[in-house]
Amino acid sequence: VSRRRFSPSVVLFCYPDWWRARYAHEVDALVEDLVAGGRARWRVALSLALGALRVRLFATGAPDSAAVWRARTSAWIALGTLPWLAVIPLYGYFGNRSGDYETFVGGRVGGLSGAGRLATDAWGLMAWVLLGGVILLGSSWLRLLLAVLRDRTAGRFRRMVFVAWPGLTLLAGLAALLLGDATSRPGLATTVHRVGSHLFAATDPVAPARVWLSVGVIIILVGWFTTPWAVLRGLRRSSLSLSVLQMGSRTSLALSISSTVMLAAAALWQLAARLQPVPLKGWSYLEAGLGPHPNLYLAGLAGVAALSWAGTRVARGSYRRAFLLARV
Amino acid sequence: MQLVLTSLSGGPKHGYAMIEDIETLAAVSLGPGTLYGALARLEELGWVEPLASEDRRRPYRLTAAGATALRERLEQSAAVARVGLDRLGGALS
Repeated sequence: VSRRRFSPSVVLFCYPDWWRARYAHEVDALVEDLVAGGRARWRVALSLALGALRVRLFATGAPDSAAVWRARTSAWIALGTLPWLAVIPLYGYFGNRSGDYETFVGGRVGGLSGAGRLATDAWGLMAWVLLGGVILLGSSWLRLLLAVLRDRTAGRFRRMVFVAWPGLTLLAGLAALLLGDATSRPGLATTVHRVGSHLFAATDPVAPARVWLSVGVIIILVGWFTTPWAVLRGLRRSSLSLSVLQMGSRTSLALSISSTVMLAAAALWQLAARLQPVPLKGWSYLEAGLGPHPNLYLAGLAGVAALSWAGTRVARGSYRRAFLLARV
Repeated sequence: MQLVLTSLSGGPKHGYAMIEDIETLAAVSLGPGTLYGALARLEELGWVEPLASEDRRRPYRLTAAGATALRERLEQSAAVARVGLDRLGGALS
């Protein structure tokens, strides 16, 4: 029985277009020789993957072409901005905890110490930065959509659909949720069965309202998780103007700063909430920490900030090079 | 980069021949990603250049600038090695 084994050359697709046009055919031949010579396939693939990362980061050997540097700028702007999409679910799952006192019925409410006030301020800052980031991301996405619409190069419609993907899925998901809400009737989805002298309530699993609500949530989740891929596909072979790239690199910088501020605020909130003295038994108390896994939340924010800064740094350098090449 | 330049100082070679040669002379096993990262950098510096090839295995050769750069680096390395060996000799005697 013959078994097809993977070729390490598939990793060549991780390299930029200009690199593949120049080196791919000879590296492909080298990979064949190395595998035939007994080199482990995974080692060859790993070396190619690390090489691709280096080429993406440092663009060694990239030609002095404004188009190449513009494409590189837009790809790195995507890396600087798209990780921010993870901030919203991270905040929703881990960070959205009230910084106020949890109240016991009939209990006395203790005053906040300085640390407690700092904790609530840090929590408030996180929420405001999140709101600002969402607005910035949304407005930049709209400007990108308009820029792709104005870009007259071939395949414009296809690229536009990819870039519009997050908005289209969000709208479709919201429409399904609204439809589900509109068709739901109290008691419609619940059937009461009588067996002997007992009554049993069973929820109809295929009630139309329930189906629409589920479809809406699934569409929004699928749209959310596929957005980075769709936007990157849309940006491929797009010829964005320098002004759009400048706006993108500024947005990337702003989102890098905001993710860092959120990280600092989350760390401060966690620390300060722990410093708030625990009130007497029966009193209301300040919730300490950021939900069940505060370290996961902080690690997630740190990951977003690190990716965002890496994208911003390379994007700004690439933009400067593209700008200079365009002037020559 | 120095290993690639040293390998090419013996004459033009394609990728696989360079990897084999470097493995023999320095016992270093270069991967294709590392080799082509170095070749792209050396080509950018003008220290190596590709030669025309009929098949996909394109050979590279050292340029005059590359030879000069390699000579300087090897002389520096040799000077450091000499000092180190002298000091070792003094410490052991």
